Amino acid sequence: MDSRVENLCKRAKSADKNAACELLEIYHSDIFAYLRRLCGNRQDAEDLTQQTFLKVWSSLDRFAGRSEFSTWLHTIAHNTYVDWRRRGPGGVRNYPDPWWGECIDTNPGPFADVADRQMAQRLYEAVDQLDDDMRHMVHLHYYQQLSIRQTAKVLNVATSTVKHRLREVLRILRIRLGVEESEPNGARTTPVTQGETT
Amino acid sequence: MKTEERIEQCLRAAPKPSAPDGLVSKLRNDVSLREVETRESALRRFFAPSGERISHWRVAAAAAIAVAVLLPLSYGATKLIKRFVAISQLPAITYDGYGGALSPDGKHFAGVLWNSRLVVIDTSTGEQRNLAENCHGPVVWSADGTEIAVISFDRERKETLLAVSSKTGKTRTLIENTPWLQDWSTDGRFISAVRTPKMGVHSAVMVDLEDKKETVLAENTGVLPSPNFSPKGGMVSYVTSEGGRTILHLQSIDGTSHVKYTDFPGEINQPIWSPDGSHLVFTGTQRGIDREYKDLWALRVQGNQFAGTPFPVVPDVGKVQFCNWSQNGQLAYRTGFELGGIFTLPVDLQTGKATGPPRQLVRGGGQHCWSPDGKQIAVSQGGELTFISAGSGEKIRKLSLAEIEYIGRGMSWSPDGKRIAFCGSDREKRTGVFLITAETGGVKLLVPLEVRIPNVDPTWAPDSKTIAYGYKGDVYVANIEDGKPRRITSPREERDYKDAERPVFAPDGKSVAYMAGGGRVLATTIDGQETKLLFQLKNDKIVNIFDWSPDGRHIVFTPGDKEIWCAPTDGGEPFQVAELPEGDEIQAHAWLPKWSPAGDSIAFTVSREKYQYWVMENFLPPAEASGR
Repeated sequence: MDSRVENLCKRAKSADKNAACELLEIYHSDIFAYLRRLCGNRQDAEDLTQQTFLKVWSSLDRFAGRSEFSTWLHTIAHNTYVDWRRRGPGGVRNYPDPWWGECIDTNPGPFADVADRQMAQRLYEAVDQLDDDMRHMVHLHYYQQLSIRQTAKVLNVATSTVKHRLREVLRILRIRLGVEESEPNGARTTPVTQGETT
Repeated sequence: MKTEERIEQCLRAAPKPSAPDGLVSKLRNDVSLREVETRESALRRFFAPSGERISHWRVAAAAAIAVAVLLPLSYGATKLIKRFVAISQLPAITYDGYGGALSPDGKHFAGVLWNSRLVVIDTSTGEQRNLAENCHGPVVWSADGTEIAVISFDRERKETLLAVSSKTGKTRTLIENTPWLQDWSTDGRFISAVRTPKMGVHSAVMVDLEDKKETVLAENTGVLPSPNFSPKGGMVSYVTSEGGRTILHLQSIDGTSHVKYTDFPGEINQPIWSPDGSHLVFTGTQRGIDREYKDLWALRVQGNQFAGTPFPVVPDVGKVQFCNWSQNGQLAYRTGFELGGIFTLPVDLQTGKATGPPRQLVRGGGQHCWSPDGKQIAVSQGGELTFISAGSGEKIRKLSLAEIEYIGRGMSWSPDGKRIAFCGSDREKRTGVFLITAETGGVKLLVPLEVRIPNVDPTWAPDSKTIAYGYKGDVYVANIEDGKPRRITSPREERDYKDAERPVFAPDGKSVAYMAGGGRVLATTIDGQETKLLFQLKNDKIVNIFDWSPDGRHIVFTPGDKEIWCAPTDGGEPFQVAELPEGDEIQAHAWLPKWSPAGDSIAFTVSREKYQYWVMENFLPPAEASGR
């Protein structure tokens, strides 16, 4: 764990409010962004962020420091989101409104090109349509930049499961985007019979 | 940059929604902390109940419990587990290629994907590494797991057997002009393989990798001989068929002994050695039992002899295809099913655009073609030619194709309605372009061709007097009266493309269009005098197979995925016409598009395959296994 964060955690555990506020400064925007992308609107994301940090402060004594603070924080945020979904009307997943719409113009990342930006938007849409398991992996690993190990810890699965599912995710996304890699020299196409030649 | 890398980069660069201005101060107000008490772990509390020093007595007691109880328990559990057949799926293997094999330690799986890449997959994580390009066919691991034998092909389709390092991908050549790989001996000196000079004609061979000398074990085996080396070396097993009976052979590599097992009352398929060399295991179907599914049988081997008779070990294993039996005792196999069928897509002839969604006409089916009046579609299905209504999919009539053993790619109904041309091979092992009379079902070999797999795409001229077909990289036309072929494509030294493939006669009958690589479709006049570029793809799609619209203004093609595309022949931009709905299938692709004679519909085939990879362990009976 980052020694500064470690130090802040120790101090927060000893009821140092300033340290807790510093932790807030560091992490609140990440957690808000995570929940905003997941839950579909700013108001719910704000509420869930608030609930997440309330749980953090009330259970800080149970944080033993065996994992990184950000992993623990994301675990709480993830569980808060899952509880919220479960309590929602019929537990039905509502597809969120396009979160990228409110920030893509100001932060286009490397995709300055319009076509690339459109591809990015299609990609984010495709991610939102993935099964829950896969969607959470993408959010944690790619959007939140957690490592495979951290992602596995948050979702309480094996790292091999995360690797496998992420591979599957990329395959599905590639198909959904309708992008095919070009064949080497066009030499081989879909086989009619294995080993066919004429 | 690879597509998946682009996707990953794009995901990592996803924009971050900004937190509302007042949020952080709201969160600050919520901060309420209490001082944390120090807690002890359960282990610590056990070893130091008083909270001070660790109790030596308690440590000693824990050690005694471990030795006296836990170790025997685990030993007994292991023994118990070994008494049961263990069958488990390899969930991380979503491999969609041909063959494939587990590494000797069972930790990796190697195989060639349909895009001709040799890959190695971690069986626990699914992580995949590319090792080599332009490969095909089965793969075999070396006994020490450091190399993988695989067939590689070059632009001239010359096939070379390579040994590819499983770590670095570095290759070394084992044999030029290789036969179809089957097995690699434990000492690395021999490979066993199958030569198939003609469709359905197989020979089992063995090649000494030191002097490259090829020894024929059995000629014209009648069935796929599956020659495999015994794990201890010295012996090779294979299967032949004689007089309707399959025979299991056990032969020493040096040729000094050869025994046969001839009494199995049914078919023996894909015999494979157990890792300790004590048994040959095979899938077998007993005669007289009316079922498609097979049982797993084993036959003991002692020295250079069979011992006893085959005994069933696992019933009803289904349609399994063995991959290999790894040294750690896992028999890896593939099981699965194929779905799909013939679909039709309504289109507007003027624009080439779809006017409705695709509709499934019939389940299954292979090659197909429209009747000249557009009311029927002829479909090859299970040894028959079935005529179905193009409107409803209802079966109208059938013709037997009992004389035909294999039907290759391409089927075309003559515009006068009298004959249907297809390619393939018959039971007399004659290969080439055949004509079947549409009324009576009489079959005639029109053009005999020397080709291993006859996929030559016959196509009729509008006058019903000539057919065109593709053969060894050239396009030929043949008059149906005498069947004498004439090449229309330029000699290789005079042209700028390598192979001309998958020809389609132009609707006006003056030329034949064909694929010339690089996304190009060329058309050559039937006198061979003039060749022009019909269209060239500029996007990243490929032309897998195509057909011409009846008015000649469009070409419909499938790129080998779930999409169907159309390209104007006047140089306009190609566009997507339809896409198959998403499913869970590992592979689903549309191909063989055929434009209806009236131009209002495109028929196409959808292939769907879904396979799972499993391993089976401990299935040989303990009494038999103990005799090893």
